[in-house]
Amino acid sequence: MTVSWKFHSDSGLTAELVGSLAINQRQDGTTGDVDGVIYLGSIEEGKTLQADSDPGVDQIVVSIADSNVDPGNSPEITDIKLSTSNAGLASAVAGDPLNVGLTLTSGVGNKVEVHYRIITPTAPTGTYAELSLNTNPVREI
Amino acid sequence: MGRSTPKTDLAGDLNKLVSQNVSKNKNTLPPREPRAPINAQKGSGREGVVAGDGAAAAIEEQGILKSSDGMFIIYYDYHRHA
Repeated sequence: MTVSWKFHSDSGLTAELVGSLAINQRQDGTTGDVDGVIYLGSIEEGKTLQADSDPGVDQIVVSIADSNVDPGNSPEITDIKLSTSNAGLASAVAGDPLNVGLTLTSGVGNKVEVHYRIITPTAPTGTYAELSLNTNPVREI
Repeated sequence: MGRSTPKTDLAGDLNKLVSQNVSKNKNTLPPREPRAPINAQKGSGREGVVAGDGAAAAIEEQGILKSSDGMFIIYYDYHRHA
């Protein structure tokens, strides 16, 4: 058994995000920002999710992970903004983690939207697959 | 010349003392609950350890949620070759 909360690519929480999201941008920045949204939720019934560090008190946090920190030569977490709404991306600070709540409840209607914005590239032309999303340690009850 | 002996009611005084003593020793504490049998306090030695508030027993799963590694595949200048 694992935690039933997953990242999903659809709002109905039917498609768990197991592949990758392809982001296409021109290196010179002329493509502009690329926005998208994924969904964090559980289709189980009667479950709650809380931060393991201090359940119900600490935030559940979604953050960007970078397996190859090399500023100037590869994408960094500061190339991505996160927010719980598309409108919130404008004021979000690139690279900052996203608080999604103290307690999440299962069910499609209770999913959390995780909006992301890939901002102007800082790395050379190339293909990169080093950025992903993680939460802090959580517990499901 | 005879000594006068004070008249006393010895029996009455004795009763008075006894009644005072009884009232001093009156136990005002509530009655004790019956002590549980010794055997009932002993476990089998196989009981599970339960957290103080019992919350730990309710946890079903713990972990870190991760998107698949390389969730964001970024192609810079992807359109240049299209």
